[in-house]
This record gives sequence, structure tokens and C-alpha cells, in this order.
Amino acid sequence: MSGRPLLAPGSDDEALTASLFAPVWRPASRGYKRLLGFGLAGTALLGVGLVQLGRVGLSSLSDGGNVAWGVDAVSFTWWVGLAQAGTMLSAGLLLFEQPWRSGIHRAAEAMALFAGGCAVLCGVASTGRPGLDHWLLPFPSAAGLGPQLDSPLSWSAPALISWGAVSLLFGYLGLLPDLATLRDRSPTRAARLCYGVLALGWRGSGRHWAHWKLSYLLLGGLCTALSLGGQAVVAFAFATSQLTGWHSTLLPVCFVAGALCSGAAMLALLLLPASRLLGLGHVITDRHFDALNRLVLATSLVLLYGRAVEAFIAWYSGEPDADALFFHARLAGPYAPVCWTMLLCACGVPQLYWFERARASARVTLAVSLLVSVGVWLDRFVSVVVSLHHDLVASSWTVYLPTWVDACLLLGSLSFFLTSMLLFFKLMPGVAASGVKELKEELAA
Amino acid sequence: MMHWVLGEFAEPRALLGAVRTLRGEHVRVLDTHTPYRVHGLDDALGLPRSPVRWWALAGALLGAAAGWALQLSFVERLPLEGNKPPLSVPLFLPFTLEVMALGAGLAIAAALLLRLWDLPRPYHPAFEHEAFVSSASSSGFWLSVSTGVPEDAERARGRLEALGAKNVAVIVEPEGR
Repeated sequence: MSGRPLLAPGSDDEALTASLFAPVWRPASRGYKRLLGFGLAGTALLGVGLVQLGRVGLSSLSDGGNVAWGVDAVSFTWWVGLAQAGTMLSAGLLLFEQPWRSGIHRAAEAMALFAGGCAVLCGVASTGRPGLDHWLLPFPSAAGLGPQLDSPLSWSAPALISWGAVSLLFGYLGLLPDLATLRDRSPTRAARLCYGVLALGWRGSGRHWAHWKLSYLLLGGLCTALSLGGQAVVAFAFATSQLTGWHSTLLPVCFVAGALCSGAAMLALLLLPASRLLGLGHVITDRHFDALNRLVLATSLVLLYGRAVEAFIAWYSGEPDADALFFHARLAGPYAPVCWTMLLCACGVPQLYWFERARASARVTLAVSLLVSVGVWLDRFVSVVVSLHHDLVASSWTVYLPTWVDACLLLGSLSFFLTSMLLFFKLMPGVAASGVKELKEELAA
Repeated sequence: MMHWVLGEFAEPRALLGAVRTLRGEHVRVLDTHTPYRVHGLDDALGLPRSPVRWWALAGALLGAAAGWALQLSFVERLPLEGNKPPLSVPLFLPFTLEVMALGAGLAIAAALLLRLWDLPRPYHPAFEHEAFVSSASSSGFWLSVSTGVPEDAERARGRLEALGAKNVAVIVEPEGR
């Protein structure tokens, strides 16, 4: 891996500026417009789902069986995982001073931001009463009502708010030098005005850089802590309950591993076509995909370990209930196809990455990343739905089927994510130009 | 009236050398403008370590205190479930830590914008120089000397040219800006 270049040789600062900012100034291609239209049409489904949810309430998401938390809670945990993995990747690689960070961190931060938006949408929807969700916020109300902060479930909203605000500041600080370039290179007055307002008058002053450097590092540290904490809080909401399948101290570790696994896979899935279509192959090289694929492999092993320990403890405890959940409901019951697909996609398929040829192949990376993303979604499905389905009253075990509103919300949030990423890559450079130039200088020194 | 003397260097090492030379000649009001962080420039400019860390610490402490107080106010109104004592320290920690990190992040942003950077500032005399606008944020390494004395500005221009700077110009900041 170390033999492969992080940057294609032969570009000077001016050439790098031209190539990295070219997608912003180039008129949108027909394919891009089609994809954007497709994304916008899909996003309309989100509106349909939310309107129906607001009109009917929770019964539009569940048939009244024991699975009250369905696909929206699954999607919420999956999107939160993607979002916080994006921040963990960007900020964590900064703290560990990894040189391959510069090629991918902008896309990781954008992914974090928009996946966070999708998580909020799915979280708001999963309560069933979007109009009353302001009660999730911890504020001292005159009525004396507030969230019960002794339940981890009520830590989710403040954890998301803190993580969102600090990672937005972190991403914006990183973007500032590139916004100044956009301002200075804008071909039209309107663009110059917009980017000029966003750039805050940045002129790359040595004094500003000195404060920037330390602030960026501090915010990176805070972001890493907040995203690890955020994943732990989401996992605690499950782990502190008495339900078999949720009540496990290993859950926070598995949530972090699952988040990083799907985050790295989603990033590869986004960057592979983007680098080809936007002509960024000289700054997002095979080495970046190799590193992301290694991360997918390592975290999938942690996921596999978590699932294996879960099954072992169920067997070793001798609890008939745990035994029934793990071996009858999951591996052989009505949800067996979901469980086996999950194990295959999230834990089995990434094992291909033991082979260097698989890590280097764009097609394999694309296919594995897609399957891993699906696999981690199904992992959340197994955690949330199968455990709820198999509660302590055997007569209430019904098979949960998502409703059309669930489908609208899932497809709508995926489309919203696609649309947001497409717009971001059109309006901002998808790779941090200032970081790449700094890396070039460091490699030359 | 402030005079801004600007000169462009082709690469970071040339800029670093020029900054060290001018500081050796006791030119104090120096600044640089670079498209990315240049290692060693902080030391060459003689900048102290950024005080942003103290702001972050203050914000973190303030955030932690606010989070703690908010939880106490909740408990006062609505006792905790399960017969827990009103001051349940382990239970209070996660929320306190979240608000603490938020406080630190917001304090960093406030410090940069209100105190440490003179930003947002859409106008700066340097933006009057066309060559500066076209390269300072992408590929040029600029040095600026600011002075209120026109003769000093002319002397600085001569020194910058002698040190190998291109596109050297003296920008006079208009009155009232």
C-alpha cells in the first residue's frame, strides 16, 4: 500500500486549483441533471410519507403488533451511524495525522452532514407524532415538563445537537480556505457575492492560520469524542433495556464498528463514481480506496465478533428465552432470510478484502461497498425489529412487515441524501484543495 | 492613512526566507498570505501560541456547568424514577459531557470571530491589488508590510523587490475605511 502514490505526480498549485475547482465552474452535464431530477423526485416521497404520518400517526408505521419501532428506527440508527462515521473518519484521521485524509475528508464531512439530516428526519418520523417532537429537546419549560434525563433515550437529542453543531463548525473551518478560492475565482458577480459572504473575508493571513491550526485540531478532537459518544448513546438506548438481544454491554462497540464499516463503505461508494465523473482521479487514488477497504474489513471483523459473542452468551447462559431468540427466531425463524443476508453482506462479503486484487479492483469495491451498506442496515434491522418481535409474551409474536409509509420514508431519505451530495459536489470542491496542496508540499519536502 | 506593501513569492521557502530576513532587519508589522498552512511560518513571524485553547477550556467549563444546572432544575421539578437520589452523579455525566463539548466548540467559534480573527471582514485593502486576488488563495505566497509612514512604505517596497518578490505594490487604504 505504501508504494502507491497519494497524489499523481506532476501537478503544481495552479494546475491543482484548476482541476479541483473545475467541476464547480463547468456547466452541469445532462447525466448530472437527470440524476438530480431522479433524486428530487425521490425526495418528494419523503414529503408524502411525512404528510401521511402527520395525518394518521403511528398506526401508519405499525400494524399494532409488538414491533412499534420499525423501519424508521432502523433507518435512524443506520443514518446516525453513517453521519458519525463520516465525522470519525475526517476528525480521527486528522488526530492520527494520516496523510491519506486530505483526499477524502471533504466528502466524509459532507456525508456526515447530510446523513445527519436524514437521521433527524427518520428520528422525527419514528416517534409517530412529528408535531410534538420538540418535547425531545432538553429545555426548562414553564409547564415543568422536560425529558427524563435518567433514560439514555433522552440523551439522543442533545447528543445529536452537540455533534451536529460542532461537526458543522469543524467542516466549515476546513472549508474556509477553499471558499476564499471560490470567491476569488468566481466568474460571475453573483457567485462572487455568495462565496464572498461565506468566505468571511478570508485572506490566508499568517496570523489567521496560526489560530486556525489549533482551532481545527481542537474541534477535531471534540468531533471525534462527540461521534464516539453519540454512537454509544444510541447503543445505550437499546443496551439499558431489559429486552433480550438489546441488553448487552457489547452493543456500543458493535455500533461504533458497524457505523465505521458502513461509513467507509458508503464513502467508497460515493467517491468511486465521483472521482471518475469529476476528474479527481489524481487526488483520490487507489491508495485511498485501499485504505477505506482495509477499514471495512477490520470493522466487519469486529461486527462478526460481536454477533458471535452474542450467540455464544445466549447459548452459554442457558436462558431458554435468549436461546429461542438467537437460534430459533434469528437463524431459523421467520426472519432467517434477513439474518443470513445480514451475516453474508456485513460480515462475509468484506472478507474478499483480504486479497489485494479485490481491494484494488473498482468493480469489486463498488459491489462490496453496496452490499456492506445493505448489510449494516439489515444488522440494525435484526437488532431493532427481531428483538422487539421476540418479546417475553409468546402469544404476541407477529411478523412485522413495513408499511408503504415506511418505504416512502426510507426511499425518500435515500433520495434526499443523493440530492444533497449531488448539489454539494456541484457547489463546493469535493476534495479539500488547500489540504491537497499542503500534502503536496509536505511530500516534496 | 495606512500603506500596505504587498509582494508575491513563487514558493513557500522563498517566503519563509524573506520573512526571516525582514524580521532580522526589525520590520515588525509583517503578515503573510498563503493558500495553505506553511510549516514554520508561525515561528518565522514570531507569533505566540494561539490562546484559542483557553477559550475552549472556558467554554467547556461553562457548558459543563450549564448542563449540570439544567439537569438539577429538571430533577427539582420532576424527581428521577426508581427512587434515585436527586443528585445522581453517574447519571448526570453523559448529558454534562455533551453540553461541555458543545460549549467548547461554540467558544472556539466565538473566539475566532469576535476576538482572534478580524473576520468577517469582506473588504481589505489587499483585495485592491489584482495580482493578490488572482493568486493569494490558490498559488501565490504573499508578504505584506503595513505602515502609516509613506517613506517607510517606499523603503519596504525596495526591500521586497530586492528579496525577489514579484508584483510588488503599495496600496494606500482610503480614508474612512
